[in-house]
Amino acid sequence: MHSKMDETTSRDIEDIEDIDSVCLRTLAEGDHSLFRSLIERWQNRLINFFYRSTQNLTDAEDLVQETFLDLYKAAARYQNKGTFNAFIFTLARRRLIDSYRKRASRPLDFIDPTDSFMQQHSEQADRSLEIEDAFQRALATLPENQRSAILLLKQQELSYDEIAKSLNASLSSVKTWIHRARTHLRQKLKDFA
Amino acid sequence: MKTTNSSDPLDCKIDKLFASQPLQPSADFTDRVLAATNGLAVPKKPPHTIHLWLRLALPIAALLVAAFVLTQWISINPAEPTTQTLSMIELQEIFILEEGLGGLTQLQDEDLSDIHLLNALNFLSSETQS
Repeated sequence: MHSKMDETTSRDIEDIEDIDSVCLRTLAEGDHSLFRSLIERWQNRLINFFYRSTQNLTDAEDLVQETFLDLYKAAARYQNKGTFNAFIFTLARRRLIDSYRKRASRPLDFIDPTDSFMQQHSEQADRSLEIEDAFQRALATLPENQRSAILLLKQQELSYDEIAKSLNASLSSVKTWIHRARTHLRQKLKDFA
Repeated sequence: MKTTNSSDPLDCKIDKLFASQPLQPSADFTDRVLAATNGLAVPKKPPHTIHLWLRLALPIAALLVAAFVLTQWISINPAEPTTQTLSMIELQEIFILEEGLGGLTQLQDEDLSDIHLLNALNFLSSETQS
């Protein structure tokens, strides 16, 4: 009896459309009013995801904007089959890889020192700045797939299934990447233990 | 799957660094994104497959009826044979032309000289005149 009820309840929960999927569906039906709330809900998460990968605030902001535009264009073909998390990070990662390609084909940018997180928070304790800086550098030296996988797990709190969908990879690959990333970060940050 | 040892201070520090989301987009960011979407075409849901079939049902039915009527009409009025028997003269002309062309291919294999070409031309012209 109980198990039957639990089954029904879990099915009902699965059937409930999440708020972001509702936003996209209404957008596809011509109602733009909810798109603003979607942007406001996701902009912080996306900008921090991109910043950890690009180490540049302006680039991160541009990538967030491009991801939202991709989302807007994809609204009509969005099907609420997987989760919205997996869907938006699939678009975000595509944008990220595209930016790496573009960056590889252009001369190195001048990095504005005032742009860095370190400078923005110069009043904070030296030690925490130091570890933040080391962490950022350690992340930068990770291969892209390992970095994205661990960011999606630890920063964005996606499930392994969602990460596998976002990165278009198998579950075992994702687990391996995360394990390697973790080992790499521990190695690089061992002085801060 | 557990990737972190919660009792390990380094793991805890790394998790804390991941969890911190220190950056925020600029104040007008949302407005800028919305302004950028104004230039884009409004996304529309593609028509459902059933709707598409319903829309195409009438033309498909019309085509089927037309094809049926046409096959009936063809079976009632069989077309006259298009191939006609060739006359003897036409057969002779074809034979002569084939022989002439055969001569030309022989010329290609051998050394090409003016005399060979003239001979082939004479042969062809005399045969066609006769």
